[in-house]
Amino acid sequence: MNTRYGSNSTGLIPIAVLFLLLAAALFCSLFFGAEHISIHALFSSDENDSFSKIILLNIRLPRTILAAVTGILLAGAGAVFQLFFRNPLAEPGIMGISSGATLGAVAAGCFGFAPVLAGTVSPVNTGAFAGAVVSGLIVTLLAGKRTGPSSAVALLLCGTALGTLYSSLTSIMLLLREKELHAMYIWMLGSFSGRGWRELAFIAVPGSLALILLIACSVPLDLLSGGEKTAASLGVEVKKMRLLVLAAGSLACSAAVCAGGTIGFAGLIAPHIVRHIYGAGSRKLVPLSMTAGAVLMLAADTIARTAAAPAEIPVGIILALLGAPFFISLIFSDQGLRNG
Amino acid sequence: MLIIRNGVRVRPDMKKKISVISAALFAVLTFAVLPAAAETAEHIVSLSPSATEILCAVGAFKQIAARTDFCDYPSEVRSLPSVGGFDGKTLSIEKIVSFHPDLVYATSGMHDYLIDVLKRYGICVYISNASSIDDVLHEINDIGRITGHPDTAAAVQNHIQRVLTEIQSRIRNVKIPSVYWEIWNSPYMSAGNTSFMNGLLTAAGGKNIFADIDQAYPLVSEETIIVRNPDVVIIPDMEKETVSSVQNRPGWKAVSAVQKGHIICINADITARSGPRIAEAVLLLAKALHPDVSFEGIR
Repeated sequence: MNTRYGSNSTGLIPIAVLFLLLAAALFCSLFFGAEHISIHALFSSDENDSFSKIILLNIRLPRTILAAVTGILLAGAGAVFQLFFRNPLAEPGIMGISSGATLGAVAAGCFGFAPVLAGTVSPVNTGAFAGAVVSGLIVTLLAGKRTGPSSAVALLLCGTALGTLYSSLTSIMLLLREKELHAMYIWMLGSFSGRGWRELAFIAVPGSLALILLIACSVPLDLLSGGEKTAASLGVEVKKMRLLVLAAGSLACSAAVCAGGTIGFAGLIAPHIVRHIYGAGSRKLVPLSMTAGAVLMLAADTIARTAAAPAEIPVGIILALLGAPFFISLIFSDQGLRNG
Repeated sequence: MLIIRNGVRVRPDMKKKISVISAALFAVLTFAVLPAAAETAEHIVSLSPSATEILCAVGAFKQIAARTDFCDYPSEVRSLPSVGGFDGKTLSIEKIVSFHPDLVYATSGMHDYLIDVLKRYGICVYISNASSIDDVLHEINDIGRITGHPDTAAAVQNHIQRVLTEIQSRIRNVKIPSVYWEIWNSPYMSAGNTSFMNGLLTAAGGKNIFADIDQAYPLVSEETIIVRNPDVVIIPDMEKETVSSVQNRPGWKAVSAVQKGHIICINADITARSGPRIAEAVLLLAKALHPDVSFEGIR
């Protein structure tokens, strides 16, 4: 895989194509679903058309925004982590944050913690948010303790170890509460079903904050492309930068799991797709990855809602089924170009 | 070794370890000869709540050597020792074998992992795979024969059939309401046409809005729930959802069941267990679905 972490040369036409794709994905997400709704019905005063309005305004619109926001946050976090750690495998999952979110969700599901916001958001989604925040906090605190040239690698290893620890705790809880096993298994596959305006309101503040922090990270991350020593000589405070990156990524991942469950794959592949097609440096890589993440998530969710309608398929499965072969073909096509 | 899968299909493995009981059961099930008292299963480990309920209903309570932590009905089973949880992979084989069972009463799918292991110990396994009311009736019949209580089993069967017939006669001329049966809501999961609940609903005079989906417990589209506009919404009492939380879901105010307040919180233990309480479950559902019909005298 071509990992051009430093280049900032990106043409306007490919960017325009990406935004056209986003518009198309938004349109498809709004107007394709298990039930047919006509655009005409939306402006009709006929009572028979009221279901179309309800579906569009109360189900598809919030779900479309949630899917887009989740894609934006996961891909943004993935891009920032990959740039900071200069590791193509870095994404919120590898830092143990997704496993922490699952642990929080399972704890809430098995032990029935009271829903937050006066019973509006489900305990499982609230638990996932709390789990991600706490695990993000732990890994950020660990990052503050370790300095030196190998600190980034140590952090990745710590994140992986913590992720394994959280997964073990999750398994113990599920084995003790077997009745919850199936429901929690389905939750872990990731889905936007049953989520809407309430979840959107819940993640509005942390999601917006994460978005601002991720964009803010992308500018100084450019200076890190030559390594931590070079960045330090250019005036970047690497330790502060590390904390900012982890805080932004953890918050983004926390909001995303509350919105759609653990759908980590988008965070890994969106930045690679963007880097492969656009060869963008960090200033453009982060926002373009966010856009690509939104397109991927919206497309996967539209397929998840329509492929087996009226039944649904968990969006995480669709993302992996279509994303993995595409991702692999991208890696090989890149190698072919270089060999040719 | 003998494995009885969902009724009377027999797969004898005639190796060294054929026990007296497995030979007897093989004879019973192959030639439909009722077993003598001495040849019946006397030390049974039950691995599911519905299995325990069936054993107790046919009069084999004293033959149960152990149950699971989830077996809580009838109340006297709480005095029996437990082998632990429910899922096959979390159960200790050592613990099961320590009760010296001559029969392990397992559930298809969940306990498949145990079958080969128990086979090695020469222990008979009855594998329940009941997904309809008829399957449960057949299973009660099988268990009655295996445990030496065929008459009690026949009485239980007759009672269930009589109650179901009586319910059918009371709802013959009433409107059949459309029903959305919610298993879970994040994501939305319902009962498809191969689920046990679909059969209960039909017997109780309801029409499942997701009877067109072949899966037992599919994830379903929220917009389809709203468009299919069910007359009744059923939610399980063990979940965290309440009638008011369903009423407050965005977009659900257009649903007929929500407008008319026909949201039923139902006892999940009775309706989810494919055991002898199916008549009670159908009666409970019928009363909830048809509040204007009198079901007096049915018990």
